[in-house]
Amino acid sequence: MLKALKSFKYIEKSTIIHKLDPRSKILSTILLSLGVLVSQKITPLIIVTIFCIILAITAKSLRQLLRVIRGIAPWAAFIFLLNCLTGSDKLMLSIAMSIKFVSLAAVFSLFFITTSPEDFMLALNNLGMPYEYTLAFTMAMRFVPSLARDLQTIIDAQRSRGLELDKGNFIERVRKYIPILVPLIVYEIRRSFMIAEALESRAFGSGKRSSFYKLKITYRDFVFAILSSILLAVILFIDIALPW
Amino acid sequence: MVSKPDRVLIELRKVSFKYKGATEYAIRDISLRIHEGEFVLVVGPSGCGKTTLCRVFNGLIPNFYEGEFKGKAVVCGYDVAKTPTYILSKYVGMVFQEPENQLFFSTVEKEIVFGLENLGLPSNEIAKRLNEVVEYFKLKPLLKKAPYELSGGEQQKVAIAACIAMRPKVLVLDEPTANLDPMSAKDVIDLVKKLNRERGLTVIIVEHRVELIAPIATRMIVMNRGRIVRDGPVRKVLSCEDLVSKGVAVPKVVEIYFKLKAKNINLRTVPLTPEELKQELLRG
Ligand SMILES: Nc1ncnc2c1ncn2[C@@H]1O[C@H](COP(=O)(O)OP(=O)(O)OP(=O)(O)O)[C@@H](O)[C@H]1O
Ligand SMILES: [Mg+2]
Repeated sequence: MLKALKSFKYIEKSTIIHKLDPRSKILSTILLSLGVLVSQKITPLIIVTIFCIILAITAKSLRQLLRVIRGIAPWAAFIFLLNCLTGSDKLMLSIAMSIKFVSLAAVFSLFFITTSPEDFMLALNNLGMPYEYTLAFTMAMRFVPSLARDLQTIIDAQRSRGLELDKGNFIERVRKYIPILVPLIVYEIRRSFMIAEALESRAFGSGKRSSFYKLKITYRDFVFAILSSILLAVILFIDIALPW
Repeated sequence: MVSKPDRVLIELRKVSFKYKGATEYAIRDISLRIHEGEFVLVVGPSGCGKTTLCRVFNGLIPNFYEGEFKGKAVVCGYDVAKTPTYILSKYVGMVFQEPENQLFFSTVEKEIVFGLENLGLPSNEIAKRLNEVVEYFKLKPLLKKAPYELSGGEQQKVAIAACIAMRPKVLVLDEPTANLDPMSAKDVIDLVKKLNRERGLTVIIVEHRVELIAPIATRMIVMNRGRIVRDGPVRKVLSCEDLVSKGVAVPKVVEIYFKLKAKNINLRTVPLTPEELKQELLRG
């Protein structure tokens, strides 16, 4: 889980997918995830997953996507088991449910793997969200890996002082997380002060911000949007027409 | 750029500050004047108020940090008590100890552009200034890289470049090399020296590695328990024998100077570098 968080970093690459306008990527993400949510059959879900994998290869980011999928695989298995155990004897539906989870994760992580947080926030700004909100979002994304590392450091420090996290019953284990969470919260509050200080020191907050980067829609974005719409239509069709 | 040595950029008159919730003042009765072109080294034991003093220079105190502020601080003509940091940051650039907490974006270029956008500059002006700092700091190969992929030294270089793009009159650096290896520390300090010498930029630097800064600084301020206890030209301050007892790590060459003095070998001046010590010894 910690490793999955740490790999949650955007890496700038120069590929067609990275260069698409974030707005067309948002549209495609929404269309595909709608398709995934509606679909109850295995085939369309697998098609979406394969589509994501092809996009990831085009974006030279297959490894990152696979890492995310590997990270959530246990959860997919858990969903599968839960579906089987809770009586539904339809094996196909249980399989579909766990693939659904995987493909949904693939759709969303593909977006974040290939869209810089700044581009995403620029798109949101263009869609009418104030800069302060989107900056908060970028910051949250930016500091996920740092938070994961701090957490690891504190866990290691407390372990070396004799804290045994994986012993005892449920209540005891939860209680053992207190000496981890308290320093973590204190430290992150201090960090947030340092960040705020650094932001103010770079003239943030004056309220008359200009914007250097401009979004531009090209023919590629139209192609991509049309492709995603066709895919959605195919998914819906298969979902209704085919048995699985 | 011709520096006019008599132009006062920063003036503090009996400034004291107590953080909200604290029982003691973090800085007390600080009075000082800093002129254009000066290179000021600030030293003192941990907790003596160095960072707090830096925060006054760009108005984080008393605007961002709540507490009890006394006295008057004027920076580049602005009364800091009445001027928000986003205005003062046009005049005072601030570089912090942790590179991680002052670099936020996914490329070095966006990092530099952020401050310029905040100033509300038009795109052509931003492009111009971006080019300028990229040239000056030789950042071309790093421009599209993520700041977190860089070495600590490169990160501090980017943090400095992002400040300089905003064309401040004063650069304040709070322990900029604390997390760096000696080689990168020297690189960063050399860069700051270059900015001071070539552009006449006024520099205020808090630094534990006195031996690194002493040869290039023009002035040294020693703090202890929230007060300024020594303030003057570097050589003069370093020739005070009680510095060690005030928690200052004096350079090795200065220690040797005092040891020689104890044996009645008096050099003419305090040496700041091994070369100077050698010359002094050869002379005598
Ligand atoms: N944000 C804060 N809130 C409350 N008290 C603070 C805060 N920051 C610093 N202090 C206190 O003010 C005093 C001076 O701290 P300051 O950080 O200015 O010292 P310093 O000389 O920079 O130390 P160091 O060398 O460790 O960085 C200390 O007693 C410290 O505990
Ligand atoms: Mg400090």
